[in-house]
Amino acid sequence: MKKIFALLLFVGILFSATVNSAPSKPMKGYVASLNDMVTGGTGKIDKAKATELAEKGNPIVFVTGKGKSAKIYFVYNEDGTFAGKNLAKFAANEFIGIVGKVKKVNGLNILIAEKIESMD
Amino acid sequence: MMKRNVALIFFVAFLFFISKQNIKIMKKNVLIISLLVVSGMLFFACGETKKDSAKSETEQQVSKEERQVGSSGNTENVQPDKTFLAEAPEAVEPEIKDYTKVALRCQIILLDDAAMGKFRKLTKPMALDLVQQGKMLVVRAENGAIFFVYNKDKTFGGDNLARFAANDYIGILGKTKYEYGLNIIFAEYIESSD
Repeated sequence: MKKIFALLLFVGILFSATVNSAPSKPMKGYVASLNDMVTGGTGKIDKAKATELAEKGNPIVFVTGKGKSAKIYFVYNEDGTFAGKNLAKFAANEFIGIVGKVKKVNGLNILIAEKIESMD
Repeated sequence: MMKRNVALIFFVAFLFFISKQNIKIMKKNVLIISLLVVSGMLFFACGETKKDSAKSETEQQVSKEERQVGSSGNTENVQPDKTFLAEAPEAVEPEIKDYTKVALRCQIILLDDAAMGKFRKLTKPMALDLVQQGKMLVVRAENGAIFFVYNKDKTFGGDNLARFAANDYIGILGKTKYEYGLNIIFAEYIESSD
């Protein structure tokens, strides 16, 4: 009987561990310049331009979707700092994936990035 | 899913290993193992369903939840964290007003503060310093809407705003547009509105 209980306990621990360790699905999108988007462009920029804009305090954002249905996310690092400079490093990639958390504050889509990776 | 299956296989192998230790109750153990495997599978199925229902509950909660933020005690619509699987709902399109003749009365704030749902009063030196550090300034209208300010030449207007940060309120004249869920104003004229 004790053996059965021990087995049941082991099963519980094992399964809860596997369920909790399931990785979050990354959000797929691309790096864009908000300046370009608000003036009618797609927002796509090269890495050098993105880095330059980010250094000067221009908004570098993460975009999902296409055209008018595109959604803009302001990406922040886990320490609460704006991740524009970090995003700029991935501007050369056609698509990137971000793992993290999304929240909406004052109408702004905020993405707290845990991991940013290329999805090309 | 693959990882789970591998874990399951290892688990079953482990149980068989244990059962070998006591060959006399082998049959009984096989029965227990089968039951445990089935219960494990059910557990997975329930877990997935639970996740789905939790997601819809979160979405409902998101639309309802409001909390007090900022020193001014204004009620801001702050939505709780959620995973990517639960997409953030679309922002409600605000009433578009013409600010080419009547100025948009607003406060200068840091985008980082707006993103965190906190607002602090900026001083001019502080604002200039923050801009130099590459931080972005935006404005917050009296109704709580956040506007991204652009100059006439369509460059980002954060630097320009920093010069007015000593004012409690500023007025901005210019064309506005609402795009991608964001309020944009192309400032033609900025003045103090204290």
